[in-house]
Amino acid sequence: MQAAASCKKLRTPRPKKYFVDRLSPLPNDVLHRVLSYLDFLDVVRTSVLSKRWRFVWTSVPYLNFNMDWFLKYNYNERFECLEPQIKFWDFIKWSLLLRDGSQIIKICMYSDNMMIDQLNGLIRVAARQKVQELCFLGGDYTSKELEFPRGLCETLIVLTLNLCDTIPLRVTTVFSSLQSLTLRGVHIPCDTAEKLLSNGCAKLENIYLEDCQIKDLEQIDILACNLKNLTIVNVCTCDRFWAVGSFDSKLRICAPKLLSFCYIGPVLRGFALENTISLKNVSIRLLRVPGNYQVEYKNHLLCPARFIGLNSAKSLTLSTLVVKDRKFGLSRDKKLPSLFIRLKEIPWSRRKSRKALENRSPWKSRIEDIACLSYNVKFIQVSNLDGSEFVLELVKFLLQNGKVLQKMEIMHRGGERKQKNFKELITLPKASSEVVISFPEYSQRKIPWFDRGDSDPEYDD
Amino acid sequence: MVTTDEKGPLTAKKKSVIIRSCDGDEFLVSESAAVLSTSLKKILEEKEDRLIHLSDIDNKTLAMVIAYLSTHADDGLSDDLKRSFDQEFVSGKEFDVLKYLVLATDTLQVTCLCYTVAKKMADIMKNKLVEWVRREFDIQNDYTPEAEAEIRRLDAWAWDDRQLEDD
Repeated sequence: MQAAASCKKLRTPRPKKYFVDRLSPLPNDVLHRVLSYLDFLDVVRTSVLSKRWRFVWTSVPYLNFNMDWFLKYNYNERFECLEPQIKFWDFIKWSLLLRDGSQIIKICMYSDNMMIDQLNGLIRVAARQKVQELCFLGGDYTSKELEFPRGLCETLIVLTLNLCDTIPLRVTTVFSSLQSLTLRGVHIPCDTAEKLLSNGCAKLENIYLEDCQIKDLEQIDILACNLKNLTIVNVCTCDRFWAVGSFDSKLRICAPKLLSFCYIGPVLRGFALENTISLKNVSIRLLRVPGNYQVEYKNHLLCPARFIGLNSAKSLTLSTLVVKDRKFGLSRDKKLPSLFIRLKEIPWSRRKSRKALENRSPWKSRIEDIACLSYNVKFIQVSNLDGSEFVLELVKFLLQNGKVLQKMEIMHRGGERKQKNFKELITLPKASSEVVISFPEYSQRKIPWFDRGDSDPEYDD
Repeated sequence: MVTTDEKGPLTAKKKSVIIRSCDGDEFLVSESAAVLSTSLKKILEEKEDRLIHLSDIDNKTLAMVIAYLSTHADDGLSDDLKRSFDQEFVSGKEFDVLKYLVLATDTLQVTCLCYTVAKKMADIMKNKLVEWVRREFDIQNDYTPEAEAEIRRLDAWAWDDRQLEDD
């Protein structure tokens, strides 16, 4: 009956009732796990706790270096920049040199003023050590490249670069073990983009790109056979981040296991989802759309024909601009049970676009959406309503056509002024007898990223 | 409800497992919850035995681990709810309780909980003076004052004049 034989034995003595060291008896690997969440300076300093602790730090496989402490306690007006930097890098080098030779699994480093040469040195150490997880936070103002040698490309499982400035990234080969890639504030040259995103990174499951530049590519291909989550926030293809039409390439995504796709950023020149049969959640929000986009950007994301691949999505989240053209891009064969509409505030200073918005043809004239709306959409959430005619009309349209609609959530912006308009909605004619309308608090239903930065203009006059 | 597994017969239907703590008490756990622990899963794969004896884990700790496993095996709960459960789970617990939890989860190989608990323990120790850690955890300083000073001198690169909070 004693099945415990094959269970790993607990290596510490049973808890004793009397006064006893509460920390030191823990086995080293458990201690390492606890220490992995501490700044490495604190970890090194455990060496004076007692003889048991003398060399514990030398085998901790998770290293967190943070320059904050060095800045705080080495502040010196005369050397205000360099002295803490030098001490910080000194500390890093000694911590690496005096290790007992055991493997390093993770290096995380925070510094608000990185010395790229030193950092490249650290990357080479990481490559030699076959590090699995690398995380650099902070930034620098430099045009020097961060270089990833071959060895590291092959062993890294998690890579996070969260930089303040767009630092160029150079990789030698594909990341064959990489599962999670997070890049923020990185300049991705075309050959790096090809190695990272198109082909080769067979194990990649999560890609998150924010404020990145991908230059000199006619078409950006994201081909990853195991990709599950893809988020692209404000990625552009030219130097000027905030310019109109800053994304001047085509985007093609081919990922059969993709579950969730979120795009927030400028209008794309071309967009295609291919072989994305697993796709469940799609969120699209466009920023800085030029006023005349319909003429100039015929084949852009907004064109329903380009929504190929969204057909199997279970939920679709759209912002004002996408719906402003009075169509959702829902074709007849879409089986979409949930629709989320996140309206964005249009500043009063932009009355022109506001007026243009309100003067479009009424919702009911757009028949291509109705089939999907009528027979598939069961749940609709409209957020950030301001009570204007435009949105009231939208809600009316949705209610009149949603034949299988079960639930609708309407979240209005703060303020009492037009609340009574919303209450009237309950009495409107509805196509579905089962529909329940509720008015939850907006703040409780916020979507991270999507609802961030509402000050970004979606229109450009 | 039971996670489908190519191993077949074991996980075909919803089954329960009895787990006995070192205090001798027995806990009835659904198999879908038990297999979230890598060690328990291995035991179940190797043997048809429905009774597992854990000679290293006491009642109180085992009950907590099982509560965690059952919550995470519940398909009806969203990931968000599970996350907030995790936070709730470790908050307000004494250091010693956390210590036995971290040991138990290490033994049972419940990685996710092990990490959460270890992080909570680290939060308690974060940015503390060496003296504070010694006092708080009853660590006997077996260095002579000279030996300790010698280490600090040798590792001068890690001993700047940083002052930490002393709670």
